[in-house]
Formats: sequence, structure tokens, C-alpha cells
Amino acid sequence: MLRVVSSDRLLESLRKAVAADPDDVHLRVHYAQLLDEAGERDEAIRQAAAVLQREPTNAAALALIAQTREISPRAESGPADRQPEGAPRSDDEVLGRLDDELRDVAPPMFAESGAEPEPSAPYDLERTGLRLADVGGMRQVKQRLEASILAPLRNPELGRLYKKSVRGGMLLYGPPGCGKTFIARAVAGELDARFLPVSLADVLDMFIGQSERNVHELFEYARRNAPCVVFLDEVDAIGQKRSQRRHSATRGSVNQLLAEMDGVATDNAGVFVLGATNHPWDVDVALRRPGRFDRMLLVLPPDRDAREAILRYHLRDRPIANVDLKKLAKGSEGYSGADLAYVCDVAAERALLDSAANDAVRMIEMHDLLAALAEVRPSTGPWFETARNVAQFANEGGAYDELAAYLRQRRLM
Amino acid sequence: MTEADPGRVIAHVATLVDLGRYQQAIRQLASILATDPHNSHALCLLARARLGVNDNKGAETAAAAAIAADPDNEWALRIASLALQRMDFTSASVRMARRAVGIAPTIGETHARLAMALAADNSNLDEARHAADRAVELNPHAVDAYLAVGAVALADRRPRDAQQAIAHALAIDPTSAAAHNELARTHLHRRRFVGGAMLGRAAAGFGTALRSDPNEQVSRRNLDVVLHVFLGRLAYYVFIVAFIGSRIAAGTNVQHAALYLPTAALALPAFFVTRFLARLSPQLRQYLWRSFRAPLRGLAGAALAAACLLLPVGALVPHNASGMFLLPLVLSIAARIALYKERARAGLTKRQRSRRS
Repeated sequence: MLRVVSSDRLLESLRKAVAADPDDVHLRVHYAQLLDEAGERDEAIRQAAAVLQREPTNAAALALIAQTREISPRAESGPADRQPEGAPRSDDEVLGRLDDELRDVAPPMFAESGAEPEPSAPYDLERTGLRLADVGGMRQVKQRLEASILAPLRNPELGRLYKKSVRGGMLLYGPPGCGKTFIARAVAGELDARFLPVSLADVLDMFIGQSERNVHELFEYARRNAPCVVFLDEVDAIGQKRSQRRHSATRGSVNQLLAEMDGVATDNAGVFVLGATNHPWDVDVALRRPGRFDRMLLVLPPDRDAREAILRYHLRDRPIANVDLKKLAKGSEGYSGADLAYVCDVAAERALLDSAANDAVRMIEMHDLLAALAEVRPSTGPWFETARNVAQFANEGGAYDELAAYLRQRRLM
Repeated sequence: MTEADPGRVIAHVATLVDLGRYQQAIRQLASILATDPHNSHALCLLARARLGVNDNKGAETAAAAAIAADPDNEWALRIASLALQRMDFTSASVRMARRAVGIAPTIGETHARLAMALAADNSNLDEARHAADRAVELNPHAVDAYLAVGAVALADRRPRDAQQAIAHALAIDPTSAAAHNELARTHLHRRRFVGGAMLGRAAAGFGTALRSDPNEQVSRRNLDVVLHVFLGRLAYYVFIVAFIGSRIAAGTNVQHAALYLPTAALALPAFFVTRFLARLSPQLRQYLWRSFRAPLRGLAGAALAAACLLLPVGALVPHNASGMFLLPLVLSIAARIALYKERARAGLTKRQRSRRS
């Protein structure tokens, strides 16, 4: 059956499709071309730039940009022989100008010979711009963060009065996919500090002494860029119990981390270290002593409010109809944030397949999400199996009391 | 790290395996093996990582591929042997271990593996003993060598020797969860009168193994087995006492005082329970108490408690003593059945257990 779809509706449908699958380059190119035809040149360029960001050599996108930018000045400034000052005069100039405009979206494809490459920063440093308010739900986690880090930093006078120091670091632990990284970014945003994420691959090296050097360089870099939140993801791998390590090449990384966190030879002022781990019990005990990761914060699977917020976020740009988020949030107890994102993906996939089979686009509906929820099981189960052992047999000094209380509350122990 | 540098990727993966990051290692190995599917070392690392995530079949397949690529790779043979042993193919496991020893007779690990495989196969224990001794000789500071000696001694029904060997292993590495687990297993093999203390020690040992390494789910299952054995034996003792009571009550010209005999005999299960509980840490006692939340185990516990309370009643109601002793008898049998059902449900029967421990 031939369907006559108005240009606006088609563009709107394509916009939603692109939002649902932002990495589909062909779809995006097609969308950009239609935008161009509809006269929405700026948006067409934006979409073409997004294509180049994913596929820097995409010929269609390059052609579209070149064509659009060639047309644009003429359309705005009259005949070609009356170019305004500063307008590009040759193909090279056009491409040069394009390069300037797209520098922030796509890296240059070729380096100019003879030009010295700019020394690249060893780690990615960013201003997250996130706040704890951007974290949905998780009231208790926010309260703990406020009390242990944020309040003393915001009120240095009170901190001095109560002799409350914010020296050292905090260890975020909990099941995978529950937002530890997001919370760390929000903390950096709250402190108005730079965020320096560090993963296992950034630090560990097979060569003897290189891992230690990497750790040292990381802290030096953080000190140079203070105020800065160093976020050590998978800190159990970097700071694993030394008794568990067999490879001598990586054993020294814990010692180096201890030395850097103590700041014996240097000043760590303005450097706050946040660690995240799924296995806090594998972290060397020396790292959990005062002045190091002396505060531990349990980040559990999202509560109902947080689940609702997460579902809303993942469905925000998708075509949905009659979705009862409260009901979904209620039925997804124990799901991690990553699980919920996957639930939304599965529901979208169901609707997409259905649309393709019936040759008619339909919205993602409640039954898609409920079916997806039934299909996707919480991925946190194995973590809680081990956590139960910890809470029952290895809770010396009450380090895992919070975890034990949660397990008892959920009758997992 | 780039794709063009496979040596570096493999070294990184070895580090990941060392750190117990098995899933990450498996993901990274996929790229190496896609371009070089016959890389024996990468296949070995894949097999080792799969063993780490309890994918024994996958580990065996990867190890077999590594052996096909390099028939003299003793590490691949050892991994294949362990994977086969875990899957209960003990004869094949022994064959692989023997090949490894043939290729690398000066490496202690190959002898330790052979000893373990033979002990699991429960065959040719003389050869197993010789292999374990050779492993210790070649590598006197390796925990695994002493664990092999212990495993052989245990298979040979010499629990005292096994304990000594494992004590050596613990002297080398006091935090070794595997050694704590094995030591606890030896307590289960030492049969003593009533046996409450040994069971208690075994439970405490598994608890220690769990404290050393909470990821060790085998120790947790073993602990559950001990608790089941404890309750099962308790039900058995209560049954005996109730049976004696019912026989006494059924006799003719029974003296009233004789009816108190079963009550006195309750000292036997009481002694057993006391000896068991005395060895447990407060956490373990709490764990035992909480374990009664499982419906069938709770039912068994309630039935046993009721049986113990009813036994003295038989003496107080002499005219109907026979009937009064019959009830605890039935309750103890019911407890035993409930425990068996719970054990099967939890996958803790002997057959299921032998594959894991």
C-alpha cells in the first residue's frame, strides 16, 4: 500500500528514528539529505557533522556539507561575484573553513607535515557540569555524600570548628551498572572541580615499574590541575590485595598508590580521590586506612524514584505512548541502571521489529516495556551472592553493616 | 595498546587473568583470536579465563584448540586436565595430566596436577602419592604442591596426613581460601564418636575460607552441606532415642523408671549439638539460625524440636507411653525426609556435590 507522508511528518519520524539509534550512519545521512532538501541547512550540517564524528571518511556527509556550505553564503549574500569580505574564495578555503567549523565535532583527518603535534594530555580531564540533583532518587547516598564530603568543603569554617577533614578519598562500591561513575561525576560537578577518570588500562602495564610510573604521573597531573577529582574506576584491580597478586610487574602499583594518596613527598591539596569498585573485599586493606579510602559508600541498585528517573531518561527521545513509568518502576525492583537501559532497548527493538513487519510505524507501548521487563533479568544477582558471603563471614569491624542491613531488608541473607 | 601489537595485548590479558578479571580478559582475547585463531598462548589464557568463570566445557574446548596448535604446550594440557576433572571425566583428566608430565617432567605444577587428577579418579594412588611428592620436591614453596599431597592423602583415607600437608600449605599462605576449604574437608573425613566437634570444625573452616575469599562459592556450598549433615545426624540420633523409647514402652511388665531412659538418652543428641555449636563463630551460629528460614529446613528443625520435647512426655503418661514415643519417631523421620528434599532442591546431594568440591 502506498502511503503518502507529508515532508514534515517524515522528517519528524526520521528524527525520532535517529534519536533512537544515533549510531545508524546511513539513517542519519538520509535524514541530513532530506533536511537539506527541505531547506533546513543548519540542521542538515549538524547531522552531517554527527555522521563525520562517527565515520570521518563518509563521502555522502562530506559532500553534503561542502554543497550546503557552498550554497549557504550565496543564498544569504547574493551573487557569487559579490562575495562579502571574509567569505571563502577557493575550494581550499571552503574546506579550510569547514575544518575550522567542525574542529570540535570531528578531529582533523591529516596532520600537516612539519607542524609540531600538540603534546596530548595523558588523561582526559573534563568539567562534568553535573550536580547531585541530576542523580535521580538515591536520597541516602546523596545525604552521605553531603555529610562526608560536600558540606565540609562548602563550609570550611564549620569543618575547622568540628575538626572535620576532607583529606583522603572515598570508595564507592556496589553492584555493577548502578551509577557509581555517574555519582562520581556529580560529586566533581558539586565541587566545581575537574574530573579525571582513570581506568585499569590507563595504569596497569606489563613492564616492571611502568605501572608505578603511570600512577605517579597520574597524581602529578591531577596536582597540576587541582582542584580535581581523580576517579579510579575498578580500584580493586589497581589496588588489589597484594597477597592475591602473582605478577610481580603489577604488585608495586598498590604501594605507589598508597604513597601518592598519602602525599608524603607532595601536597595533595585540591586533589580528591574517588574510587569505584564492585569488589571492595578485594581491595588491599592498607588502602582503606585513614587518609586513604577511609570512607566507603554503598551504591545500591536504584530505588523506585531513581528507577522512574532512569526509565524516563532512556525513553525521552523515543516514540512512546501510554507508558506508566510508576508501574514499570514498581515492577523493576533489583534492576540496575544498566539493566533498565537494556529494558528500554529491548522494548524499542520489539516495536521496531513490529513496525517493520507490519509496514506501519507504531509507538513503543506499555506492553512492549512489560514484555522487555519480563525478558531481562536483573544482572545484580551474582554480585549479591558474593556480597552475602562478605556480609555474613567477612564483616569484620562492621565495614559492611550497611550492606548487611540491605540484604536483611531484602531477605537475601 | 593497539591492535597491531598482539604481544602487548596478550601480556595485558595475562595481567587481567592474574587479577581475576576473567570476563574482561575473554573480551580482549576475542580480538587477538579473530586475527590469529591458532595462537596457543592466547588460547591457553582463554581457557584459564573460562575456568575462572566456571565455564568448564568452554575451557576444555579452548585448551584442546591450544593443544592442537601446539601439542607440547604443557599449560594447555594442565588446564584441559582440570576442566575435564571438574566435568567428572576423571580418566581423561588423568590422561591429559600424564601427557603434561611427559612433556615437562621438571615442572612441579605438572606433577601436582597429575596427583590431583589421580586422587579425583581414586585410582592408582601409589602413582598419585609419587607425583605429589615429586611436586613438593620440585617446588617446596608452592601451595598447590601441598594441596596435591593433601588431596592424595584424603583419597587414600589418611585424613591426619592430609591435615598435615594442608597445614604446610597454610604456613606458606595463611590466606589461601583453597587451603582452608581443603582443611575443612579433611575434618569431614575424620569419623569420631557422635562427631559434633569435627562437623563444627569443618563448618568453621569453610567459614574461614569464605572470609579469605568471599568469591569462593564452593566453600559456601560445602558449608551448607555441613549444616545439612549436622541436621541429618541430629534427626538420626533423635530417631534412635525415640525408637528405643517405643521398644521399651511396647514391652510387658515395664518398670515406670525405665520410661525415663529415653529422656536420659536425649543427652546423646544434646552432646552432639553442644559440641557442634561450640566450634562455631557467632556469625556462623547466626547463619545456621537464619538458614532455618528455608521452608523445608525450617520444617525439619521444628519437627526435631517437637520430637525432643515429646520424648520426656512418654515417661509422664505411662498408660499411653507407646503412643507417645511413636510421635517423636514419626517426627524424626519426617525431619529426615524434609532435609533430603531440601538438600536435593539446593543441589547439595552427593552426586551434585562431588562435581564442585
